[in-house]
Amino acid sequence: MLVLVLGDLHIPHRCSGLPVKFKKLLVPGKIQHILCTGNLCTKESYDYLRTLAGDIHVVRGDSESLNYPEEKVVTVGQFRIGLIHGHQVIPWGDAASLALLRRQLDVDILISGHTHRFEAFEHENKFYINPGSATGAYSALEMNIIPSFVLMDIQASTVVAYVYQLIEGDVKVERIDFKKY
Amino acid sequence: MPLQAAAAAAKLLKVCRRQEENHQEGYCSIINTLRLEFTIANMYHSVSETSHPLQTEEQEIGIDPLQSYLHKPGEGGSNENGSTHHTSDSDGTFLSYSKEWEELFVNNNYLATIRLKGINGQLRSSRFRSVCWKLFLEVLPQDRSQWIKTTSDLRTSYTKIKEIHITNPRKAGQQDLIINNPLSQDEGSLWNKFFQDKELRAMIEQDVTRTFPEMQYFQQENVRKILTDVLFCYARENEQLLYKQGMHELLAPIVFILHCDHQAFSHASEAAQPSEEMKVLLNPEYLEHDAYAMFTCLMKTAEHWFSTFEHDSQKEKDVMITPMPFARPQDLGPSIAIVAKVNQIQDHLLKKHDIELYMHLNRLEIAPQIYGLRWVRLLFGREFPLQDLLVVWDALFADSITLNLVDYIFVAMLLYIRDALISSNYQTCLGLLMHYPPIGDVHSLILRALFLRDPKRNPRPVTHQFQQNLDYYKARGADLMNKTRASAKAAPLNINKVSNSLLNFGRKLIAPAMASGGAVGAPAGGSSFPPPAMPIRSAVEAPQHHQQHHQQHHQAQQQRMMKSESMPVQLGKGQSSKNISSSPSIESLSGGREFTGSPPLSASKKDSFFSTISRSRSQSKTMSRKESEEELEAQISFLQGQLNDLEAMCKYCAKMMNTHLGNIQEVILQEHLEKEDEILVSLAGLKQIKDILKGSLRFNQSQLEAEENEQITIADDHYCSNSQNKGTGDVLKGPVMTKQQFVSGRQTTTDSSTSENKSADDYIMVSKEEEGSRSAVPEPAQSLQAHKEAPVKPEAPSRSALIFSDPLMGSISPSSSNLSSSPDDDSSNNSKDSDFAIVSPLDI
Repeated sequence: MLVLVLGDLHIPHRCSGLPVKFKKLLVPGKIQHILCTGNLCTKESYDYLRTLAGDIHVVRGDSESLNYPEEKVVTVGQFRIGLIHGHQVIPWGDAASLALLRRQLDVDILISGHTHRFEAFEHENKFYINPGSATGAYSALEMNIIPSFVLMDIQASTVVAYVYQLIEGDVKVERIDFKKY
Repeated sequence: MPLQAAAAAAKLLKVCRRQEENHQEGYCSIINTLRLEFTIANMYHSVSETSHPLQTEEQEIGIDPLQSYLHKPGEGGSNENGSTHHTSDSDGTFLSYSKEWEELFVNNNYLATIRLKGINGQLRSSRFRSVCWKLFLEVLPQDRSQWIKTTSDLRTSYTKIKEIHITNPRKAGQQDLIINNPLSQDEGSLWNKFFQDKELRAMIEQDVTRTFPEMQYFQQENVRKILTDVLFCYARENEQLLYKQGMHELLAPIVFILHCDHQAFSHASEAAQPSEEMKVLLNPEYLEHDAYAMFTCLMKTAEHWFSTFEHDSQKEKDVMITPMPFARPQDLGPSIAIVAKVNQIQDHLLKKHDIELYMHLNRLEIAPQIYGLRWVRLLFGREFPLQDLLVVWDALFADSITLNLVDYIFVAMLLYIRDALISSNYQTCLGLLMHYPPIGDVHSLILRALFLRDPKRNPRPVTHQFQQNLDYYKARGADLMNKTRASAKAAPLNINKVSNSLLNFGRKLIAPAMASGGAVGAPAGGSSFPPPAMPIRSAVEAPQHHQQHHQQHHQAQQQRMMKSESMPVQLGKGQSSKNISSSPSIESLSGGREFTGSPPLSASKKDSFFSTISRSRSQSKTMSRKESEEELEAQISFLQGQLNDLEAMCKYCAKMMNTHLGNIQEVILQEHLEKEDEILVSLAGLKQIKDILKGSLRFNQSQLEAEENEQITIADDHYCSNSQNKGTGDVLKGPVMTKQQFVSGRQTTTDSSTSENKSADDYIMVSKEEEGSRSAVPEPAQSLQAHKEAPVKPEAPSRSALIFSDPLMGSISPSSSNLSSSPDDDSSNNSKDSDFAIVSPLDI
């Protein structure tokens, strides 16, 4: 089952739209679920995501115009997945703080955003994903952001995360495996 | 206890089968379902019995002699084989099992043997049907020593195919991630392929879940998976064709017979050690592999029926040439192989074997692809119940891998329902074709097809057409009810409908001109056409159901005579009659009808009927092609000659019948037998037939149906009554009288003489005249006479009913209620007749 993870689009405030090469990759009919870390900013972005998959979950970012929940827990296959934008976790993107939140939510995978920098790591046998910014919008701290998103292929008790990054005009793909114990 | 259940069911089957042979069509569907359930039930029994070895043995002993009888080659008809054989599907001894194997496959010329068996329907219950099919379909080579090797080769190749096509992108090893990631649109990407496959699979699965929904076997998840996988692999192996709807219907029976054979094998192998060949060939593990191999071989022939690929040459032509002005819709479309095929079947084969039916279908503008696509593509899979279907396939495959018997079975199927079709309107025709009526004996259909293909080498199926129609009509009353409902559904599907009505409108516009022209040139053509004594056949059939054997015998003889007369005539006339109809001389309906006075002929019924049909078609014909007048004249005169011959023959028959019947009656009356009444009733029936032969009686389908449903065969004895009341100017009585007169006819049939018959003739003329006068075409003397009588007729019924009913009511009260339907029948006759008078100028 394919789950698209992305966020921090900041359209139209910081970026005009998704990179063309990403748009080409994202076609309807392949993806079953979308988990969005927020900051879609406009309804149009949300509507675009809806065209890709029927099931879409969004949490509220810090510059959101629509009202979404602060955090969400979604179950896909055997995995409980926690979803949060990440501006609430201080320091931003800190592993220990995220672990605290993960324990609170009691999830197997915690997805957060806000830093605009892709990150995926295992910590205490749990999986943490930060898909970065799909548009490459600047963050509060950095100007040069690599556009990126993550696609999770969830099969029973394993997750294969494909990381798509747009580096110097080319799409690079990485693959990270995670198994639940 | 399964054993007893099986035995009981077997008995029941036998009984049913016997009835079936008596042409009790109504039972057929029941039998077929029974058979099906029984086979399946049997299969499961055998599985459960495996835990009771003792039981199995008992059963084997019980069934053994039966089987040895069954497996004697050439003994007993195929029908008997079929009926009893089902019991042995799974519970025979290993001995009989291996014996069957030896009989089928262990001799020098085994291939010819099993082909013969297949064509004769003797594989109906064979436990090696799948092996036979494999041989027919050339999955297995003729050389038996190669069987094992070929089988294992095919199996490994399927395993490979499956590995290639049914892929899991997640287990694809380390490919370049840029290419092989879930969102990749690269051609070589496994993920990309995976998503494409998913669409195809969804399409296949959608159909597979609808395969034989009435059968439990096809509802099982693993069976569905097998079907899907095989179809998927086939689609992937044949990218040009991919998967087309309908393929699943071809695969399903193959999987089913493989499964049945495997069941039989696993059961038989408990008793003893099967040979190595059997073990390999019938290994249940390889059901899917074998099914794939057989399916591919079958598709080698059938694939072009599924292809929608248009011929390039045809396309170019379409662009270059504007469509023919009067081309039929089916000729204009792109030439797809299957459409070309069904058109070819209808336009050539059907035309050759039954031009009347061909014209009728053309007139209704029922294009063959409306029903034929499904017939051919599914190899008649929806037209017969599964067990019958398998028999048809036995023959199809056994005949030749090229399946060219399909064309002839197609035609045979049409011929089987020809009478029903010809007497039906557009809706009913469609209903009949789309929901093919149940067939009592599929094998006769195959025989028919063989005969059609090669009349010289295959015996004429003697009873075929006649018997089948008899069968059919019996079930038909109820059938038609469903049919019309069904056809109402089917009708909107047809685009031609609109154009049809348009065309009819056009015909009407043209008709008056033609009619007036026709009046002038009439005498020659018109007079040659006798009245439509159309449903002779059915009138003859009706009394047959009475259990009086000697009469049955008479009738049977007569039928045979009539058949032998009418058949060749019809064939011979095929070509010329078309021309006749296009001559304007008979344009008006009355032209043909009013000549009732001249003794009409029984055999002419088809022709006269045909003329009505062809007449309406003729408009378009005459428009589209100009045929030379001389040729027409010559053909007309030839036809007339033939008609006259027939006329004479019928007259003679009627006369002789009359004499003999009179004799019989006299004797019987003197004897004062116990059941004299019944005999007399039957005699009256015979007289009716005589009158039909003479041509003085006519009737049609609806009458027939009513009769058959209510079992009142003599109800329509117009003449018997007439003959009794002859002195009292009863000519005026009209058809309404028949009820009461029935009895009188019964009591006094003896004194039927020629003069009475004359009065009957007159009466008939009156009823016809009604129609004739409407069309207002001047006619020779006889019609004038009829004209005079016409106005008197309407008042007649009430009057005469009062006069004559009393004496009769007393004696016949029980049966009179049965007869009550006859007046309605008469009225429907008229209306039905006028249905065919499409050209009538007064319609406008």
